[in-house]
Amino acid sequence: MRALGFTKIDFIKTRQQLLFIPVYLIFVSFIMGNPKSQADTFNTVTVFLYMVFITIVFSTTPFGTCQRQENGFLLLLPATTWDRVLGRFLYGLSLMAIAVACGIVGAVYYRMAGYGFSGIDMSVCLIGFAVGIVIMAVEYVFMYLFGEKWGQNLLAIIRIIPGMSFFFATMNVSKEIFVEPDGMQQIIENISGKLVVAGWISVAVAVAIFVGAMILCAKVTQKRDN
Amino acid sequence: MAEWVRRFAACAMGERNGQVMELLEVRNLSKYYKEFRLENISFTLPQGYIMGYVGQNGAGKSTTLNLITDICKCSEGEVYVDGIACDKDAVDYKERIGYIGDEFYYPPNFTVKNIRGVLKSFYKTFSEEKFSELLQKWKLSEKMKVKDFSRGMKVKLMFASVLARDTRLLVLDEATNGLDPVVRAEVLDLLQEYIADGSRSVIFSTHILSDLEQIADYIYFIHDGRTVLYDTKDELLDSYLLVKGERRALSSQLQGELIGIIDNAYGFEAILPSDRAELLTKEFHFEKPNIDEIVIHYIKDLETKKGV
Repeated sequence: MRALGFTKIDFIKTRQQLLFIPVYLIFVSFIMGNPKSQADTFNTVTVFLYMVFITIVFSTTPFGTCQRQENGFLLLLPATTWDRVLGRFLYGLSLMAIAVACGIVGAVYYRMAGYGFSGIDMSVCLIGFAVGIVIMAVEYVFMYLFGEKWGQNLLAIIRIIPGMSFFFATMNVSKEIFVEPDGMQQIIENISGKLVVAGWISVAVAVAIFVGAMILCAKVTQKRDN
Repeated sequence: MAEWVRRFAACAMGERNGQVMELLEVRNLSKYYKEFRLENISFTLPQGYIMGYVGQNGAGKSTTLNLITDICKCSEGEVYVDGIACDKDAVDYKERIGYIGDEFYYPPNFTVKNIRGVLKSFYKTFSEEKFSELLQKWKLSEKMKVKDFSRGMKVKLMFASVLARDTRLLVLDEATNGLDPVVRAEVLDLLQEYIADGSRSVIFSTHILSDLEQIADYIYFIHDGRTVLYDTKDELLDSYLLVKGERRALSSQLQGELIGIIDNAYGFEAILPSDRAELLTKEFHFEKPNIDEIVIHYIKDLETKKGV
């Protein structure tokens, strides 16, 4: 319960960016809704992946907004280091859940508008979601290990780069699959059933990595000065 | 009736069953940084008392208070609040401590309402009624963001959040800095109210030593990370004399006993242990010093010995 208290604090501190999530959804939906822009299912997947990308960028905001003088408040709350770290990780996960929910809303919208959504799309979304969780876990480990020693500007770059890399990489892969399907799509379609399973497995592995990262961060923080 | 009075007095003096109840116990507390070492700080603070923790900037006051509140981890030593060590039960330990620092510590985009919500979800003893009462008393709006508060309002909000729960130890780290005299006087009254029932204590670091003169029962003076003086305020004030006179009248024996000789246009000024008062002749003027003067002359003495 105390961990949830820290999650709540992070949400209050970053409440403005929460408003941006639906704004981004509308923006991306509008851009992707241009019928001339891309082919069929690409739009559905892109909206979902874009929301994962937004989470990767937004989930590290509490590290950037925490000021040194806030220690008197945060560190004196009756809680353990585990509560603090778990609270921060839960913040990341719940932000991901909100963004993914928005992504699903976008995907459903496209589906209802007549765009396709196949097993391949499902697997791409699942793998994208898993990769997003892993990137977030790695970012959190990085922030807990080095966060305070690095300048704010550098931190801002570190926050953006993984998300941007994720987004452009997945866009390129998606483009290979959906827009320029010569040969590639045929192969994938043949194994699409297995790809969905692989997608779910990757999500499970990502969650395990996320939990491992949380344990590592708690152990490191426990031994360190605040 | 007489028994009730005696028991109340004992409680007010931090005693139970004839034994002094130590609320805060600091044992050989040390913290080693590359450029600074805080070494072997030890003291006890009984229930119902206020301790003034004094020293120059960089002497180690905030470091000590940060170690007591567990904002920093100590390199060596132990701290107990109400018999509880933080590493044994961090949650219970922190429930018992209220901290007010020189810097306002709530996130700037929080409203008072947000702070109320957080305190309520974390502290078992947080009383919403008491918090509302204090906000009303100090005219603090719940809807305002705390970044829009003045310094005085910020200090009052920190006090409201601490006083609205059942803490046992209040840690103040230069909390009265930058406050106007009216608010400062209010804060000092609050501290006295806080310890009035004899079950709670305050440790208070400040540069405004006249504040300590008014309210402190104990004085702990550190310099360069080491203990210089630790005693009750009254004992400390009785232990020294402020001596003034002309340099040429100083005997070598008296000069050896004087602490922190400072030359001025009229001669010199220094402090002398009261038990050496027999060394003073009628050529010297002497009086009871205040805490400020004791601290200044001790620092002068330490700096002179260090060759600064």
